[in-house]
Amino acid sequence: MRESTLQRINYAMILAIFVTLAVHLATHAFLGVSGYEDSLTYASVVGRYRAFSTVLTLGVLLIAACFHGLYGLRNILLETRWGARRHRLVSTATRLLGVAMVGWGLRTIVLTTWGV
Amino acid sequence: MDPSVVATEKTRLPRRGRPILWAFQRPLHLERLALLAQRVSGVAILVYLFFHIFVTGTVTEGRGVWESTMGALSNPLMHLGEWLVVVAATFHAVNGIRVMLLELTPLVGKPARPDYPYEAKSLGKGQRSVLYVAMLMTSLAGLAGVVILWGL
Amino acid sequence: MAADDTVLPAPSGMDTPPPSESPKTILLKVYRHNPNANAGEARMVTYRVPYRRGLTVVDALLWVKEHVDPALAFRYSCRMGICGSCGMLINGEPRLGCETQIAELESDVVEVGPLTNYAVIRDIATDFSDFFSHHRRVRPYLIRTENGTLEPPARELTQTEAEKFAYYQFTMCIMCGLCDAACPIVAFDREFLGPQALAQAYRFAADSRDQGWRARRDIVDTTHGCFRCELAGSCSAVCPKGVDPALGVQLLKRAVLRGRAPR
Repeated sequence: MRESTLQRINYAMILAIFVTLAVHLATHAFLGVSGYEDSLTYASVVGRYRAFSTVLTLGVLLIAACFHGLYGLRNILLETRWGARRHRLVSTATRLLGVAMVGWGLRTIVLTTWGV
Repeated sequence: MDPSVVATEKTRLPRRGRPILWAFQRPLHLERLALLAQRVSGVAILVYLFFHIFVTGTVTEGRGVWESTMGALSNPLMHLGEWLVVVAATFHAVNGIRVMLLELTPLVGKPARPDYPYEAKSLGKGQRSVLYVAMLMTSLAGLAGVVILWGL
Repeated sequence: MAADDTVLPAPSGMDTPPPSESPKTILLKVYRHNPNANAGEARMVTYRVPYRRGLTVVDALLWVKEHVDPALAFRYSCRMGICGSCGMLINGEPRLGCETQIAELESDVVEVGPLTNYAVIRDIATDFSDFFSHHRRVRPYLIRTENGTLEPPARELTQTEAEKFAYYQFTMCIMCGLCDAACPIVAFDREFLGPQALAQAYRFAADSRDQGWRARRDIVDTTHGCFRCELAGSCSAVCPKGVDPALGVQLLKRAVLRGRAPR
């Protein structure tokens, strides 16, 4: 994949993070809750997951943040050692880490919304 | 020994890519420090995200596990860590906007005939003002974080 | 022959030190490293160099070479900031030695070292092989369909003033290497093309006479290409000729993302 394609995806993820992270922080600060501590109670957390808007926000935030963060980490790691082998190693490792993080996060969303 | 030679002292061979030297190498201007802060905040947020995903995953284990996890994390050190993440995320976001604006819009400047004293357009006042905005918003986020986390 | 031995009468109105005052000196700390001597150890050697108004760092190094140690190795040539040979670290900052006057440093101790991010050959002289190879990689010449043929050009390649100024500032590059020395990405990433090569890639991409956009895009749109630049801006901060390589790299990124030549 061309570097410019990865960069375009990264820009899209950045814009997605802006919107969803703002909503995520607002829901913990004041939106529909009486304070930060209140937003972390079990009932409050599970209640929020029942709303489709929360599921959508968290899902998009999870995927966007993991992509953006791991793309940045990949770039930093590729600066320090070079060559095709290192490139494959770093790309594979960051992809696996991304799959693990997104996978676990989606598992939480699915189980909390529909399973618990 | 030649009287013009005042002193001789051993020194280290320069080695490319020494992290501490890289961070504070001259010229030490605001944009270079912003890059350092962007990288440090980015890695810090990624590490936080990693743990955040697994901590929030404990909600699937039931009320008991969730409440004991929240109880364990509800201490001043953790609150300080969360505050630092909010501050880091705000700087990272607003400085990131600056970088995107400079990469994608005419804010970076237009080529022109270079005339002495050769002031670089890409380091002009307009671009730097966005960096000042980033610093201001980071301070405001820090204040907001204190109010929200500690209810002051 | 030391040029500073001659004292010319000053024009009236200019201040000159009265002849009764003892001549001023400065301390010049120079990085010395000879891989074939002194067990390859590196040293900082301090020399006391006589000061005169207008003394530049290259002048001071030449004084040391002529009067103290002829083995001192450093590059210089034109002494007027156009050849790009005398790039060095002066008080920790990449600068041209011929354009840096001792007086403007406002210090009686001047530290001179080899440019960062380059391998040291000896003393202040550094290895520019990577720098030149990155430059060659971006094909720093006009790419035309008739390249490589023996056909004489059929017509002059004309250009408007506006078309010329779209890339003109990037032609001012003297390949001194200060930008690559200052760049924090070049510090770690040996495969990164670097601000000089990327700015030159933009110079040719923005030239209306060039027909090689696709070839150049394929070179800079890579893992260690233009998107590794993260806008530290140090390259533009140190450039002695107003090239502003950071501007060139950002414009190049925009062109690559748009998918068409920047014209």
